[in-house]
Amino acid sequence: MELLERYVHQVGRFLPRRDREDIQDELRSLLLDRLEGAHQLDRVTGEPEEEALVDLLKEVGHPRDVAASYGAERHLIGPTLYPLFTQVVRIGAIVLVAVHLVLLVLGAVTGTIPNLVEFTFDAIGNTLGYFGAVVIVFAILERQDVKINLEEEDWNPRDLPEIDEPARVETVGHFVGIAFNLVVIAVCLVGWRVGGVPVVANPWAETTIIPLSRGLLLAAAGLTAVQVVIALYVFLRRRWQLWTIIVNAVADAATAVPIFLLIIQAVETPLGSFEPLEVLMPMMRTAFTLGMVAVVAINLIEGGVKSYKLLRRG
Amino acid sequence: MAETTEQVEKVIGELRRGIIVLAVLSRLSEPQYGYSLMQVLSQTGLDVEEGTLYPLLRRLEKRGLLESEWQVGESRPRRYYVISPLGKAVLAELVDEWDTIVSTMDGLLH
Repeated sequence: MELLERYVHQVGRFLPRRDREDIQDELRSLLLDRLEGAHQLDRVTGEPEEEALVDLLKEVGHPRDVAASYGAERHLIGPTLYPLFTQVVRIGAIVLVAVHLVLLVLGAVTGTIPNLVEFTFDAIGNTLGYFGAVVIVFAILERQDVKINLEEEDWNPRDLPEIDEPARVETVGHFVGIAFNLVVIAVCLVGWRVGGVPVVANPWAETTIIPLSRGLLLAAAGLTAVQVVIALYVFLRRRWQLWTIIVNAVADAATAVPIFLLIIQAVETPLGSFEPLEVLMPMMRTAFTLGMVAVVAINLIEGGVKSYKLLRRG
Repeated sequence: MAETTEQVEKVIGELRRGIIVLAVLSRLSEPQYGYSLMQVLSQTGLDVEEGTLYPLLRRLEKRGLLESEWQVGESRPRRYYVISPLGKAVLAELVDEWDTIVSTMDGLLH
């Protein structure tokens, strides 16, 4: 039954959230009906026989294909090509975002920082252009009735991942994390170069720099870089391991310390005619310190729980 | 020969896709769940894969031609589909169209 649930869960991953649960219930019911009809349910427990279930799942098809068959009737890109289309879009988007972020970080390191607004619009324009080009190519392939066989010709239901697999890497979330960390590194390096955060108090004022500790900025950039390296390593391995979970959790927690100390420094610095309110300062310092402790604790607990789950699964 | 078989299979596939809606609507005057409907169709000589039938049932329901409800009184919950009043009206017209097509094709082919 566990294999059946893994299969149904995998199908659900490719379905729109709105219909997911309903289709999953129906699919589960259908598969059990099929097994029952072929007298392949255990008479006592009502559980399916594993061999029969594996054969049935192979016959019904790869979870991605089953999910694709629930798509709309008319398609710009049909169920046959859609899985490949999403792969191409996803990989291309990841590469594009990564290239832009690396350019941003390189700019911060070498001091040739581009105009951020122009840079952002360029990045968005390039991404949309890429997406449009991929859609057009796949729409043409669809019209030409091109059939592309993906690797699941000999897929084995027994290889389906666990429903709650602590070692699994969620590609999109993973790359969002890397992108965010690269932005943090870029900001810290810019801050390290100029000795603080450049801010504009009002539209008529010139840019002023809130001075920040260069040591803390470098520490934040370095610890975030550790997380990026770990994330890239994990992506290449396609799995979290115990040591990567622990190092990542510790680096994540440790990064919170310089970041919060920098925030406290920034808040306490007078900006133009705005003086920090002395009465509020102790309260804000306490609030940020508590925030820092909470973030550190959450990261360590999260890493601990994930490690425990991984160890328990052996 | 292989090319002929391929072309024949392609056309048959298109023909079956066209008639399957009619076949499904015609068998749902009484409520049926997916697997029982597959068996009913199979017994009459029309084998339909679940990958085709289940999404089709959902689409027909979304178009208002079928109605469905989950029944939990049996060994496991099952979703039963039945033709809706709109579905009945559409089926009646489709049957007329079908008779016309059969008669026309009969004249063309024989």
